[in-house]
Amino acid sequence: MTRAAEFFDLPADIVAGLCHLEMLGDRQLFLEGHGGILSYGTEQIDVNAGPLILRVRGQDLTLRSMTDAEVRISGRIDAVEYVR
Amino acid sequence: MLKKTVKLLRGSVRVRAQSVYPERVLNLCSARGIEFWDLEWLGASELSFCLSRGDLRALRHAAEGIGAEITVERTAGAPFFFARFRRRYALLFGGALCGMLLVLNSFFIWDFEVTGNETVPTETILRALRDQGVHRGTFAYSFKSQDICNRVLPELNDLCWLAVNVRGCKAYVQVRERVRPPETVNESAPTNVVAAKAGLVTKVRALDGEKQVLPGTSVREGQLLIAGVVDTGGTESPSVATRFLAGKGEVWARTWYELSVRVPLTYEKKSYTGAEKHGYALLWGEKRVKIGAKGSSICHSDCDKIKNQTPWSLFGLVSLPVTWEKETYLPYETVSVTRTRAEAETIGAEVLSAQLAALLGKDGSVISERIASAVQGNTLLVTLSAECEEQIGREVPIAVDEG
Repeated sequence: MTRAAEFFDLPADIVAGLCHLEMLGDRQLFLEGHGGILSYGTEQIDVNAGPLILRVRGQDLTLRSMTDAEVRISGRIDAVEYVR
Repeated sequence: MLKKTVKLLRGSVRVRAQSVYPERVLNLCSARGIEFWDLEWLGASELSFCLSRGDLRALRHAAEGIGAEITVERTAGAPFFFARFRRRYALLFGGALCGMLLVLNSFFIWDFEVTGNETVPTETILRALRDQGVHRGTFAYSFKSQDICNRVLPELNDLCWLAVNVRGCKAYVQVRERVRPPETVNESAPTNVVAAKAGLVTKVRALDGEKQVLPGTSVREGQLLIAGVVDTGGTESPSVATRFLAGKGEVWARTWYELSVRVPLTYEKKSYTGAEKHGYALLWGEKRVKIGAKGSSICHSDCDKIKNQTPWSLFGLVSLPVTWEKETYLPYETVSVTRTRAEAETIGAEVLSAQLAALLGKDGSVISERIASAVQGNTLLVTLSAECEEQIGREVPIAVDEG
């Protein structure tokens, strides 16, 4: 599905249901289309991002707001990685 | 800031959630649309966060399904604040009474605002309204604007329209002043120009009529300067009728004035003793309630009384029918003060100069003036002698017998 979306030059977050990630420097992270929080801590937050897990690492991490579609994490973000 | 205010008004709760998988509580919140903030991770199986008061029941209900335990740690906001007063009946009664009085208050007029008047004083309009029963404390729906207009206008001839609109407890009085037609000057009415004052004529400008004086002539008060009656035929043709003209023109002349004023050399002056007393009163509509010291007995000797009135209002928006009045009494003694001759002369000269300026009007000018003074008893007689130039011509109608 993802490849098909790329082939037809369609937005993959809408067609293939991939999550949409935005960052504001190293202070905020905005994730749209998540599947829930998997683990939470001030130094590491794991978010369910469909087939992958999005791991945010840093210092003083907090969950600023969260709805069923969006999650906003703030704090000093050191790394963002996908865990397969 | 706005968000904080909304949270404060809606009320918020800080809860502690205990579960084997505490992140499931968060996922549950997001799935059920429960907004939360200020999340704190307390341990491997504990977390606390804030949510609005209305969402607490939904959270408890949802938490039962995953075996999480929800404990309320702290409450904040307006609903919790007011809930504390649920059983304080006297306070509730007082609040209700206050609200009722405020509502009742809004049915009466407690303030006036008059607009549209330039020559007619506001006090005159308010007095006329008062005579017709519209004043502070009047029930706002007890009169019709049209009736008031019909009854007040005959009393105030300078107004042609008046409307009273009541909004809240304030009456807005809008008026329109009558524009008087200008006085028409009859250009053809026969007139003479005579001297308003005695003087030495310096310039004659006759626009209509016949000159009777030339520059250099001394004239008395009332003397004919420009004649409106012209004998057209003269002595050679006596049968030709006399013409009546509107004598118009300006006659400039030098005039002399001698004005005097007596300035006392000793006078009484107030000397404040330094003492200060205060009296307070509450003005409720037309009623006045004194507070503290009893009225006129507060000041036995001579004293100045300064009244300071402060109308009360609710947060500066709604004016209340109550005015706080503070009276300040400043006792004084009269002391006899002596002024020097120079001071008295200066005062006299100022008074006489103002008097002369009023006599001359805006067209006249002073050519020269001299001040003299003489002590007479306890006063100084100040005399101003002035030579001026002014227009002395004054139009006087001629009585013509039509028969």
